[in-house]
Amino acid sequence: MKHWTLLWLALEMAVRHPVRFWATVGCLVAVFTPLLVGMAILEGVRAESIASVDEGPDLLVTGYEYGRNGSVAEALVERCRRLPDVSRARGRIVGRTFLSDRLLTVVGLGRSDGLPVPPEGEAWVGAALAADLKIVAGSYLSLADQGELTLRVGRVLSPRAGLASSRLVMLSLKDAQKLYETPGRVFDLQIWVRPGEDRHARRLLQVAYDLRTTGHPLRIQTKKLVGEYVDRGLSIKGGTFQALYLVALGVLVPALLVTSGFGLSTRRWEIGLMKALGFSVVDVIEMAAVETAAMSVLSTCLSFLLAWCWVRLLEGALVAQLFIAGLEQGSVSEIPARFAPEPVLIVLALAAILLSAGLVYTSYRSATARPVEALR
Amino acid sequence: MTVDGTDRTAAAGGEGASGPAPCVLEARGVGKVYHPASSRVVVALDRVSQRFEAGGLHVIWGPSGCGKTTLLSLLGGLDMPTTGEVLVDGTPLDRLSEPELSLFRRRRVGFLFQNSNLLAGVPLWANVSLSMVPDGISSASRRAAAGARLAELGLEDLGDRTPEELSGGEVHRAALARALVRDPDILLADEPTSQIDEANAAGVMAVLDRLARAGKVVVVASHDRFVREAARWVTELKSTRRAIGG
Repeated sequence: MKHWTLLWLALEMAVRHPVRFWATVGCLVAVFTPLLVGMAILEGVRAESIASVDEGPDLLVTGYEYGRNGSVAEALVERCRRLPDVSRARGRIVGRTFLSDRLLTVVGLGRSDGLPVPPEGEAWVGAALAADLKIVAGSYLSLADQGELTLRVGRVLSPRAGLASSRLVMLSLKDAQKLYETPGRVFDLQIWVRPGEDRHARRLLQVAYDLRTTGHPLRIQTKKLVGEYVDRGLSIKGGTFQALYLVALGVLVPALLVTSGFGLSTRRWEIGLMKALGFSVVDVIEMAAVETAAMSVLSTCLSFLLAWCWVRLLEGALVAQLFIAGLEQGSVSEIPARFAPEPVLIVLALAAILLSAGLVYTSYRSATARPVEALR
Repeated sequence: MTVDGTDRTAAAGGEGASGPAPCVLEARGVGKVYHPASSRVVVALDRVSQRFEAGGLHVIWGPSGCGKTTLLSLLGGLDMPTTGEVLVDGTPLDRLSEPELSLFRRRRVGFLFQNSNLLAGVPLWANVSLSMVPDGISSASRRAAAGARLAELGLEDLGDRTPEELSGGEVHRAALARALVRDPDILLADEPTSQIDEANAAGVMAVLDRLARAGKVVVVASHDRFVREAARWVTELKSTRRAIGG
């Protein structure tokens, strides 16, 4: 009962000073909302990337020229298909080009069983790019790089197709070869190996060995390796964001401490009065802890709410660009974001730590002083 | 320094003649020095010894700056003396642990501050019953106890008002209600009549006198002659405040 009455008194005392209370909560929200936005987008991009890798080929093969990725002969695709453990293989050309001053990604896909591919003379366009250029199915599109192409837009990809496809133009492999003037060559080879539980890894090795024996200089990457590259790349981006954020936090912490110490003389006087009336140091600390907990929870909830609005309504403006290269405002219908519990708990802990430093400690200092000194 | 500790009622042949009341509060050679380690040493109180007994009003009398408030704070455990000791029922306050001292302040002492010290924006009933919170007493019980004390002092309809909505006299009476809400053994009042009109002052003094006669130790610090007239015992302090160095 004692703790209950102290809890209520602490909350009443906290809301007695609305300026102090809301200024502190406001500071915390201002500090933590961008962090939650960044972490949510990072996790969303990571999840989408991993899903994309999982859906992708078991082996990604490129040429290897002078220590860099190079093209490979298209004939190798057919040779791969004949390998005993390969279930599916296709060649691909991935490049970039400009269209009306907008940088877009071009993907030329070779035919393969069970995988949709645009027919020759047709292009499939990402939803964001189509909206941007006001393209609809049936429109014509002119692309120019090494060569020039005019294609009929056969399909506008669904906005739900994901971030990667939002500014994409998909072509047939033949059209892409014309655009980049690389007849008979592909930029990479996607190979799916027959599934089979424990035999899968051995089959991957066998296919990789068989490819090596073709005499072509090749760089062979497994799905796991590609996944690790993606994960590492995102971790570096996340780490950079967190480092930048910590610098900003370091600047903001003193301001926050000043804010939470705002009205310190009033707080000291109140504590002095409570001590004079028989509150113990533990009682005062308990009340400060309750106030800290209440403000931490409230600021975390508000930060979460604002972060959700920032991501969903403002498309993660100013923060999403840090994680998604080449992203322009309004270029995707929905920023990939995932609000995991861990960042929210981290924010809650950080808020509690910061407030403890600014509030519990100063309350402790006042509570351990003699009432006469605190009342003075 | 104590220069005079006289039993005026006893001298006049009053009720104090039936024998001294049991001593519960005592100052023994109490002194207080502020900033002892700095160059601005201030001696606020110098070797005061006095027993404060139940049964009558005890007034600490003296001019401003003579250390009345300091002595009262030391008697109530709000501060600790630099020299000497304050004893309650023979137990020195400086030997009490922090929780024990808090309990002493909460349950045995009522302190009426010179400037009332009510929390602004908080209803009177909550102000009055603030000292009951650490004992886990429910809101309803606190409200009832505060209401009873406020009613005794003629503030029965003002429990839900905040101090800002009251007159100076009402605020002072509310502060007295807070000091009395735990029915303490010791009541310490610092200049209880200095900031209120004569009618309110008379009312406050009547309450203090009644409590003193009811067996409480009531110590009042004042420089008001009206208060001195009402006292049974008077401890007169001369101004000892002096700065050394600086």
